[in-house]
Amino acid sequence: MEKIVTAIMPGLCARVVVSEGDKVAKGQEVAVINCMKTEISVNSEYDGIVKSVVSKEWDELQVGDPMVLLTVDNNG
Amino acid sequence: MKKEILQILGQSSERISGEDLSSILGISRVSIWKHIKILIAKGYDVDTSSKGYRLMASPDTPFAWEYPDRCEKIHYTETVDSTMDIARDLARKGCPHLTVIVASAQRKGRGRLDRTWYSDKGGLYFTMVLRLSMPPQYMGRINFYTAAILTQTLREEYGADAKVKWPNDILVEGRKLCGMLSEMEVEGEMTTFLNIGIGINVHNDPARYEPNSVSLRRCSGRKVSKKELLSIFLDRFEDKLDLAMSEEAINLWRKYNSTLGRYVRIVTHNDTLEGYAEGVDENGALLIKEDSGKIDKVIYGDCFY
Repeated sequence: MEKIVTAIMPGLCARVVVSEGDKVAKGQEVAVINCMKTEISVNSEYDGIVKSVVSKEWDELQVGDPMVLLTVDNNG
Repeated sequence: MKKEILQILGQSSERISGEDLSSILGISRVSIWKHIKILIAKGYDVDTSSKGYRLMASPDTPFAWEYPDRCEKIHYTETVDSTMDIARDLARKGCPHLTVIVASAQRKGRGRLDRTWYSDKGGLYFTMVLRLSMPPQYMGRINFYTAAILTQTLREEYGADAKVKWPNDILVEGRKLCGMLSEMEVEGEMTTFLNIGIGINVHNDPARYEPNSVSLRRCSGRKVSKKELLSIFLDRFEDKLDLAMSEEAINLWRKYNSTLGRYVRIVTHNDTLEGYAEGVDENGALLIKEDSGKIDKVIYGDCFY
């Protein structure tokens, strides 16, 4: 099944640190948001494989905006 | 043990024998001598003779043992890539609240969005690891509190006409004296750590790289001790830390800011916004009133005026 890693704070997408096909562990940083000169780690809540990267550098994000799409086990 | 040796030597204008030090500290005279040799190699001027030791002068280096009350939580390295990288690593490994990573120089000092913060010797570069039980949206308050306390310190202790430009650059007469960058990790609804990195131009000459910058030595017109500056700032920072998560942090920032009341330009990668800086909200977002009367809430971008 698919799970989406979303923006946890509003701000700019500073970088996405995973690529399509990467294996991701629960708790691993997948992207960074910049808000008022604070870099905020966006961590995966699941073990899985990156199906697609939705956000790119400089994207303006609101809370809940999709950043990375994962394929996870059904029990993942 | 170096902390204890320096405390004893520092409190006495007389020479203290190796035997007395050995007796007070409960270690052998050979061990005392080994510690003294290391201190001398680190830049301490210790007069040694057959009658004992006398501390003549200490280097302006923020070694952990220079901070007796914080010794366990100060990590000093002469040169690092970035204090932020070390702080993140220590924070993820569970280091305690108010751990401080400090360096004399950085090879890859970072500014916002991977810009370079030039970090020559002579400056003060440190990152504080904060473990405050708070929702992530409060991080703006902590950053504002930090900028306000540092500005207050520079004004009151060093006579610098320092002011904060939104959100947290500290300038003197429009020239940059200090920069800050933070990193935060969140678990669930709460922050696990917030690391605040601070670079202060103290004795270094940043204008070689950044024409619009200035050093504290130039602003204050006197020699400044970096280790004393760090000590004073940390004491002030910790003293009122209870305020940092309240709106009082924003009020303190307002007291020292140079942005509000000006016509400003906010530049992001995608857009430019101009207007009157009317205020900041309870979490530090800048409120810009455009010529049309429309109010914009700004949370990122470079601020110019």
